[in-house]
Amino acid sequence: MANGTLERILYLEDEPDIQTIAQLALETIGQFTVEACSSGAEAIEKAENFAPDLMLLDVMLPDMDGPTTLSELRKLSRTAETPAVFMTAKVQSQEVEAFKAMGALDVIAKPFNPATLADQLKDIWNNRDQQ
Amino acid sequence: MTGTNFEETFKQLKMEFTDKLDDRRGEIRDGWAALKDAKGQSAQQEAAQTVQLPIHYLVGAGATFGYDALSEIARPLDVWLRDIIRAKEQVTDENLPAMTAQLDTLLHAMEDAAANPQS
Repeated sequence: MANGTLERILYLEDEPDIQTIAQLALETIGQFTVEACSSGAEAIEKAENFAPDLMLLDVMLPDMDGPTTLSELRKLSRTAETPAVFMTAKVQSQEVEAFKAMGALDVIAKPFNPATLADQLKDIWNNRDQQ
Repeated sequence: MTGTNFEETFKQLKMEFTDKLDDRRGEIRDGWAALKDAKGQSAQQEAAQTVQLPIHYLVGAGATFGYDALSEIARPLDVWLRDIIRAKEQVTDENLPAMTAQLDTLLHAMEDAAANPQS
């Protein structure tokens, strides 16, 4: 198991209802501190001050998409090496590999189950040295 | 925040999702009509982008709110529209009937879901 505890998650999702239920699940079930953002620009603006342990990014967003947001976050000193996980409805294996090649630790498929989302992230976090 | 708050909020969001299904149906139907009328690759890409948004949303959100069928039925439409947007595919007389049939299945499933909300 890797060192460090997962506590702070920067979460990017533009759909309000999905954002609300995922944030609630991560905070109540996972006991994480979550900073939710609705756009890539907002995530970039909040990232340095929030200092996340992990970034959870939706892929398809209307302006700046998840992969572009990640590449911008990588330019910030505080998030240059912060583990990132994408959430996407695109779950074909070649696409998952492409997301990992962009620097994502893993990919969570949408639709997701809110009751198990926090455990999924904990598993990814705990196994991150093996990936 | 307590588990009860989670359950109450989840229930509320599910109700809101269900309440908005009729509006989203109209949005998808109008977007599809525009796609069928679009002439040329660029116009098709633009129309596909518009109608893909609510369909992609259903893929990602349907099962999260208990409507697994909506996610499953919407997924092939989402993939096809994405291919049009990326110019890997075009709307043709050969592929349109099958995709329109899939769309009709989705619209009926949305109508059923709105009429029979998940508890």
